[in-house]
Amino acid sequence: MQRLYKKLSGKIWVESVVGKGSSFYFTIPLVENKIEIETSKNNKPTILIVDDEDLNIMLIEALLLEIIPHSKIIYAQNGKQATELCRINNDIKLVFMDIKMPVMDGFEATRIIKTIRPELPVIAQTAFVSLKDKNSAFASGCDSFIAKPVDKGVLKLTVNKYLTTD
Amino acid sequence: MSDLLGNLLEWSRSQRKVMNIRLSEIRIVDVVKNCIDLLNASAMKKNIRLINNTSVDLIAFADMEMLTTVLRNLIQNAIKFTDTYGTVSIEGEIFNNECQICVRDNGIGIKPDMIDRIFQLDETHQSVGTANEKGTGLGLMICKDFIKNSVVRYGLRVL
Repeated sequence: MQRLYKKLSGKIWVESVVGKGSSFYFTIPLVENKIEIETSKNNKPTILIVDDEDLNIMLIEALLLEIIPHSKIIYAQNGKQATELCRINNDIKLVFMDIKMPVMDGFEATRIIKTIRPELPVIAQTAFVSLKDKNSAFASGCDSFIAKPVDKGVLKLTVNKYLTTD
Repeated sequence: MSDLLGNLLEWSRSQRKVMNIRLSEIRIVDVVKNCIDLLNASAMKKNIRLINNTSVDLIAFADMEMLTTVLRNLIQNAIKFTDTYGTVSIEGEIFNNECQICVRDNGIGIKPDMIDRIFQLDETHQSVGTANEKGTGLGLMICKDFIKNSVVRYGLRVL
């Protein structure tokens, strides 16, 4: 896999309102990864999206298909379905796990998935971004964490990190 | 005193272009966490909360020591000019295909006529914090120097 180091201008600036506070900004180059996943039809990476909201599934599926057009996307609407799919489908290479879901939440589902397939990357995705959520996600075994609505750049980095043929 | 010496040494080395730049892929959330751990005691003295709001997936390409120096100086500066029980949050996001980091406080703010000079070494700058903390004015100048010069120049060299 080839990595591209994209150079962009480093900038630093400040915005401030007297009595309200200051915001110091700076930018540094982002590591962009060129995705070169095996394109053989027999080696389609299967990605499992776990979410009880159809709209969220559609959004993340659309983004994933832009990033890796040849991927196979499958779905589960709660944690219990996700654990069953992971148990029977060894082609699943990556899981995007919502947290708050009926029947079984994402934390519990991740704990079970990690006992079945410890090597399978599970990425927590939720709109509720707090330090507590992040800690809970990692404690349950999640490999990473992305915020909803999912940002395409973040998704690309995540996919490239966890879904490679290296 | 150790901060002043450290800043002077780093700035001097960067000016003489003898810094040993080691560019690597850096997970921003980890660097921010380290800086917060380092400065929490200082913030606690003023009951200021330091919050790490950076995404775990944000990975940038920089020199770890230089990035740490910039973040440490900006957070120290924010603590200095924020009243007790204030908040300093560090945010990181991908914006326009760059890694954009923001150190945000709800402190006393900066007068408009000072903003343009804030990154310059100027003896007329107010450098006394809300709890009478003293400063040298070097910290922000180093931040500007590292971000605008070193990171950019060495980043280009990699290409």
